[in-house]
Amino acid sequence: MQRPLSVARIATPLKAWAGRLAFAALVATAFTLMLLSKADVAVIERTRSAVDDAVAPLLEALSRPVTTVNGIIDYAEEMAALRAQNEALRAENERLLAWQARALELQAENRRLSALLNFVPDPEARSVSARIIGDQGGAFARSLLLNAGSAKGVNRGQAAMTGNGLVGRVVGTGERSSRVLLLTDINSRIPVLVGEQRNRAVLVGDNTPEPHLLYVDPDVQLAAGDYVVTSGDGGIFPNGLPIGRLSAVADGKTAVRPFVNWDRLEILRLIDYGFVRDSEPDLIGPR
Amino acid sequence: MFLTALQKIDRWTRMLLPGLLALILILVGMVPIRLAGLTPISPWLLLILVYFWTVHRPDLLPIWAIFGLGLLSDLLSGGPVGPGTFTLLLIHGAVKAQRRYIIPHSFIVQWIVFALVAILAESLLFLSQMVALRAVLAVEPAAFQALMTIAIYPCLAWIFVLTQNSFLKQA
Repeated sequence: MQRPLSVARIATPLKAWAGRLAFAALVATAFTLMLLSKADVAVIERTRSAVDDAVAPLLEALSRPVTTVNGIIDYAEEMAALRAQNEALRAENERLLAWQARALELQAENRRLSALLNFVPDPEARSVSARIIGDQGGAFARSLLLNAGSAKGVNRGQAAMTGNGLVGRVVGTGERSSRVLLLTDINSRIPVLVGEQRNRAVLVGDNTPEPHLLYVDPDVQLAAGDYVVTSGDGGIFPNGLPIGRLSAVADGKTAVRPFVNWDRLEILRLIDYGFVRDSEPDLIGPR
Repeated sequence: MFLTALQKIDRWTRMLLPGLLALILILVGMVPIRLAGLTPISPWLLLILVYFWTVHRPDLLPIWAIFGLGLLSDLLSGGPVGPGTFTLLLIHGAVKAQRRYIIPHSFIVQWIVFALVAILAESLLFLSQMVALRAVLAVEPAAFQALMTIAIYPCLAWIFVLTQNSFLKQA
């Protein structure tokens, strides 16, 4: 009678202490990881890619019906606006044809002048298309998970685009998944050119829909409406990818409204810059 | 012999149920739904799960499971690893200490308590994110996420109650 009682008398508080110790250890581990996260620890990033890879097939299966539903909603909306849209498209088509003629003309002229100058052309960009399968939608990070990884030629640093403009850049790749950091994320830094003067600056995300510019030459006059494009500094992005327009300039504060329609993201084009490919059709401008 | 094996599987499934639900919630929370305006900030589903099971069946959601789920969710968020895990663990600790005062109350009262917990958790997450990022963040997204989480609580809690009633009654 005596023995089990004394065992219980020692074991119960011991168990409670062990529980408390485990709790403290886990909290301390989480806190340490939190402090380390700015250091870009390789192990954490590799784990993240492995986890992304593991959930990619599941997310792909889950996101498929959602894509279908989105498609049906789009279809219904389009049916409703068919006539007006048709007219708008016809007008736009006419305008674009004029632009195409102008572009071909300029391209020919550009080629002639480049030949005159013995200009070294940029390497042509190859691109990989990938579907968005994951969007955490958290309040603190802006990133997307895509269904193509290193197996399809996706690499860290590649630019992610839609037809409208830049979305962000690839920050991690797994075998069959990759992660894109949006240009609005607080960790995003993209070297850009602003306005017709092509002033250099860095586009910095701040988790709001409109990122701002940093390192602008103080003597430079910026105006709302100025175009912002990638500068290609650093050699990772091609030069001249469209990003957005300056929406506000006031006493040193700037805001850039990206061209991308965030509600309509579905498929992204990842620009693989620096790989020369010979079979690219010959036309300037985004394809 | 056969029956006992089945019973064992049965017991294990019950034990794993909250964890499995959490995995499903993490994945479902990531599916890119394009309802205009709703995309940027979604509710913190894992917080609801941790609160609910810590109040009702803490034995089925041990701290190491919360740690693992928190890490997984942090990794998949694409942001810093640690803030979410850290917050969930502390919230679990606090709620577990107070659970016997929460359990006897009605659903509405439990929801109100959850609202307070969610505000506390979101503030803690907000601060830890700033520590992790070494940057000052805007308050609005965090506040909005807290509201979304509080608003969706009844839906998820209802699913959890159903799960509990149909699978875990006699476990």
